[in-house]
Amino acid sequence: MISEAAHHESPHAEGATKEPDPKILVFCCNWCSYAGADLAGVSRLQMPPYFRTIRVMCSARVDPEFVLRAFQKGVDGVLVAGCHPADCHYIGGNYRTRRRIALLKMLIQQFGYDPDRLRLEWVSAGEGEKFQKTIVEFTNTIKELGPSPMHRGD
Amino acid sequence: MSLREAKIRAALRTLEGERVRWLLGKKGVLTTTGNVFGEAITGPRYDFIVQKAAAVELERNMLLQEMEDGPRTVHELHDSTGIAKPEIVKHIIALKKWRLVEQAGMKGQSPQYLAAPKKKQPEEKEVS
Repeated sequence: MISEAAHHESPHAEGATKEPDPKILVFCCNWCSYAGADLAGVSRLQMPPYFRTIRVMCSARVDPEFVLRAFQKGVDGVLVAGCHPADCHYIGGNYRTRRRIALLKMLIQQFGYDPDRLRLEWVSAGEGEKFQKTIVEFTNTIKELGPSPMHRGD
Repeated sequence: MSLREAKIRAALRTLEGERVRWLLGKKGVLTTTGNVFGEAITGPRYDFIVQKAAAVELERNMLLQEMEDGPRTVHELHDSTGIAKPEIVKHIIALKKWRLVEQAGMKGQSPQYLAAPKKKQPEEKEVS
């Protein structure tokens, strides 16, 4: 149902808005966040349909290269969701992710991207509501920031 | 290639580079047991070191990318990358020390630098 939510037609697809819909990429860890996203879908919690989910076995599987490539291809925001600290299925994967995201936030600033375009969030399997809130907040942040500098061409 | 595109490419190289990867993987050791001399550093100090190393590597990779396209003087590098000239000179000294850059000739009174040809890698990493 995550994919269903993601593939719903945009409410603004008829050309009523000037700005294109944001494109958000969400990396979810298989053990916690993906289950949390699943729970949000099963619970029929309403979420903006602008995100695409990629399931990875651990948030530490998200190589910094993936994030940079996503921005290079024109994604407006990247959210990495992983298990809470000390809950990682692979013991310490989420700690590694935290270090990498801190570094990436600094790096993307160098290309003129706002560091808020990249976000790390801990979502457990039982936190469907938190997943939904995170998606809503992140989408609002991205909408406020506007299209990616890649689209703006500045 | 736009400056942003060049910076993203340089960042990809930075993240693939040994220096940043080594630092990212060593946080636990460096902040708890310490280095080979038993000298441990604090978390904020570690963050500062990683960020500084990444910033330096990013600039060096941008310069290397430029110099891979052909011989460049410091002035030309400054024009294309926007990095301050004294910083470029410092980076070139470091890159020459590691034999990543060599002097290719002179353009007027300015020396031209060229990236040293890369050693052949056994396998190229490809992520689509």
